[in-house]
Amino acid sequence: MSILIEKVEYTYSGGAGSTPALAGIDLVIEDGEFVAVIGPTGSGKSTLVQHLNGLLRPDRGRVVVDGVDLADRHTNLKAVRQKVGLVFQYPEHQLFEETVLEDVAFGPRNLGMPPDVVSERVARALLTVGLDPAEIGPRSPFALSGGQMRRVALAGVLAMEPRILVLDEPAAGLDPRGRRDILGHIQRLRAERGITVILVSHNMEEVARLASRLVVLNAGRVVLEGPTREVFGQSDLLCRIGLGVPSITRLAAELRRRNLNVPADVVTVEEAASEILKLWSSRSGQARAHA
Amino acid sequence: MLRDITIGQYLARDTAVHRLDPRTKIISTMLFMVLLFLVPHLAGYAFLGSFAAAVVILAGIPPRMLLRSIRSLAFILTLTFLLQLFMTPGEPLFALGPLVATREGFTMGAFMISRLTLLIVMTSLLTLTTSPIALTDGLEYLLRPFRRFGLPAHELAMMMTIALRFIPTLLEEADKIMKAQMARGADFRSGNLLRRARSLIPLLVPLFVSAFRRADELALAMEARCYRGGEGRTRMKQLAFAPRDGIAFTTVAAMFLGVLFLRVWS
Repeated sequence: MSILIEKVEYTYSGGAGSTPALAGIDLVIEDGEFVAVIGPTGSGKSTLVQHLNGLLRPDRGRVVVDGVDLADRHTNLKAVRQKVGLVFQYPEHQLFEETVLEDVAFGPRNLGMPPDVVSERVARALLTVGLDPAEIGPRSPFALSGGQMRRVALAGVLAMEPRILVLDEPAAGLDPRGRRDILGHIQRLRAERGITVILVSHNMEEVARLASRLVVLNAGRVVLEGPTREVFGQSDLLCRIGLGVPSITRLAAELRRRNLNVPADVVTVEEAASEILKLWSSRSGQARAHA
Repeated sequence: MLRDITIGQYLARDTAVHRLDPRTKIISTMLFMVLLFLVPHLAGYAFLGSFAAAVVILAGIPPRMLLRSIRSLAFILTLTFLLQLFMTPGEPLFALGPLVATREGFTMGAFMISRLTLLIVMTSLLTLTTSPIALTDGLEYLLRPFRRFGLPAHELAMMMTIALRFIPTLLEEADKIMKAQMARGADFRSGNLLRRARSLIPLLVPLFVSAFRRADELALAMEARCYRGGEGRTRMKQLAFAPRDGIAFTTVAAMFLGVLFLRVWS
């Protein structure tokens, strides 16, 4: 279940000017990876993710998911969309049914599944995002809180049980608890079912904590790509294109500048804490030896 | 797809057409629309068409943009043409089963297509070359005489601006929702008419919800800036006619008289 993106170019028709949204993207995403796509606004992130399930067709180049070329006219896009679940920005804006159960059932029903399989999947998807199908299920999706609506919308995609989950800023506009919740569910889902996750985000801390590999886009090109640590080691380049590194990585850099031997590739608070503690105990050990 | 509809979009340029007074452009467009229904034969449409083309060139509008908006209405155009072709009684041209195409039908169809196409082009031109603010100002001014009959000129103009302003926004939103539902396996393109109509529910419900949300936010934003209707409202930019407006009016009036003459004469 890998994704192969080859020399993909795409330009939106009409509107202001003809700068390409994607100007030749090459990328391979392996089965079971957790990849984060970061980049400044307008760098082509959202355009790229819409190529992954055939919503947009590349002007040039090709996208191959699991050996199936999406640009091929004979490709069954419904089957592709079942395999590749795409959660858009502010997905709660797509809710439309009278009840939560009905709304979550929309996807599996479109795939032509029998009613008992549909209701089983709906219940499972709601439980995955931490909602009780018996309690929330019969309610109107429009009567829920923002965080709950977001989770129902996520369940709507999860109910199709995709092997690849693509999320465009899933936590945007939520409060810290809502963010934690939704990202926690995604992380757990990946751990339990081994699915591939592709996350588009602006939040460097989040990305550092979750993703094993980063893809940095700028002006429709991949400017940097590699393991999370290595990418955040390039803080100059990231800052130049309008991104940043996690605050804790900045702190580590500052400590190094002051001749404290903290590794430069620290990306999470937990790591930094243990490294600083290590440093601390070795120092106090030295101090005692001197005394 | 949906984005290709150009009605209600403004293309900022600095051309003679853009600089015309909005009142001139509104009245001229209206006169032009009347003309479209007065022209007696196809040669007249060729003339009006070349006038429209001249305005397009003068306004620096990429013809591709207009072609796209015509293409998005191609279905209606084709349907109108076929209906006229087969439903008008007259001298038979050829037959397709029980349907008989007539020479008169062909002429009528060609008339309708020219009319509709020019209608789309000219109305698109009006909004493409006039900013929404200028457009409302012009409309409000033109509607002012009707105020004494109880017509809320300012409010109507404001409603129109808001509607125009939100056409592209809502189209974009519709595009986004459509994609989100397609990602969930929705199919907007196949099936019979009933199925297709029903497949629009997942698009229309969220679209309405978001339109209401936007309306609410807009009302709040307007109130926060002390908007309270047209009473005693002053404006930063007063409308004023310039010599170029005279030229535009003269051109349109000449065309109008020419067509009237043609009609009476033939």
